Amino acid sequence: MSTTNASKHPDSSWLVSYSAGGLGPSFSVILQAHLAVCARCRCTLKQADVLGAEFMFGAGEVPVGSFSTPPHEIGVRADEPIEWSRDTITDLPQFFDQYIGTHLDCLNWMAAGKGLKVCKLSSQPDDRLWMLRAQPGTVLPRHSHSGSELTLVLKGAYFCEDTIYGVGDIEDATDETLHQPMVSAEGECICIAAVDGPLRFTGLLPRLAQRFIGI
Amino acid sequence: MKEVSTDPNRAETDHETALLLSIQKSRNQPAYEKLFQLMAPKIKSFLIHQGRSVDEAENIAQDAMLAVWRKAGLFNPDKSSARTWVYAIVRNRMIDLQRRAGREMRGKDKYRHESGVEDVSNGGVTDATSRDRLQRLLAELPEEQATTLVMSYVEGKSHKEIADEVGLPLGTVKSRIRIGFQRLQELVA
Ligand SMILES: [Zn+2]
Repeated sequence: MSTTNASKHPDSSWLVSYSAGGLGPSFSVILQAHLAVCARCRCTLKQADVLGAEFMFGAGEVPVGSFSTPPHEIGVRADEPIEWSRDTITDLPQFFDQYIGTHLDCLNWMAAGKGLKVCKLSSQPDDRLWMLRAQPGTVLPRHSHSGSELTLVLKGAYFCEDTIYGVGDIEDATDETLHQPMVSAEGECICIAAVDGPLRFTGLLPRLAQRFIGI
Repeated sequence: MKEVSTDPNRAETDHETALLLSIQKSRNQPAYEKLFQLMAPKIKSFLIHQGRSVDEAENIAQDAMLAVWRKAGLFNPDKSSARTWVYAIVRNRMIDLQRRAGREMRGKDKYRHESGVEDVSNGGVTDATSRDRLQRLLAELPEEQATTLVMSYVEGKSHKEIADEVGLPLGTVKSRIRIGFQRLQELVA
């Protein structure tokens, strides 16, 4: 699991918005986790940054307060701040520790139907981050979206239509997508999902669950 | 459209890259000061257009330039120009701030177009060439693609914010960004 190479990628429009600083923290964290394991998207992000630089340097100027001589620093070791300059593949559990900052079992899981537990990691009106943990073979409620949803697989795999999403992959869904994910029978599946609008369920029971847990 | 990439702009970006390399090699303070004068006012202007307060824009610009000094050793001219590298530093500052502040930053909208701060053009050659270049690039796109890219990069809006504002489905907004981006990628290459 430490040498993941993702094969399902977010639409490049996500990397443009990421580059432009226009995303909320939930969407940013999912893209960062994917960028850590995907050389292809790091390359796209770099192109988006090239374009961002055109915008920044092609804009106007506003005087800055003052220039101060930078301090002399001894033995400064700078971390690489830029995604596309990194070559290393981070593994996702490591990423998880770094960004979510807690162990899986310490999360406040809520049952959300047969074989499925969910945990709300952050919830702002337009930017929610969920973690989902599903037993092998679980069929998730059929739903569509009223906004965007980016899902990143941290463990295991699931199928949707005829596509399989494995560790490090991103499923990129919009308001036009109606889907019913099914977890692989091989093992449990853990995902994080960022959504910017409520999910729309088509069945009665999930709609009831939605009222209680507010997915 | 071919002449877009062969222009005086090249001399300008090469100059910035040379300054950054000089900082990297010898911690050259005059080079840093020069780079600061060239870049900080643009970073600040960019952030204000994105809807941040003048104070916040000033802080992020100062912070980003300090990071340029500290991290200069990591710059690799084979991978990017100084501009692209500095842009990525600024962007990661914005993302970090957003994470720390939770969604508070969405409040940034309230500063949009109300800052009362106007861009000052330095009237110099450099300012004009970068601006011209950007305008020529955008002129290569159908208007709706140029508009969604401006809303993304200049106004810092999410897909959903753009979709709500222009009254189109998310999928349409995403494909406008994707196609416009693809086209400009070919032009700036
Ligand atoms: Zn990718």
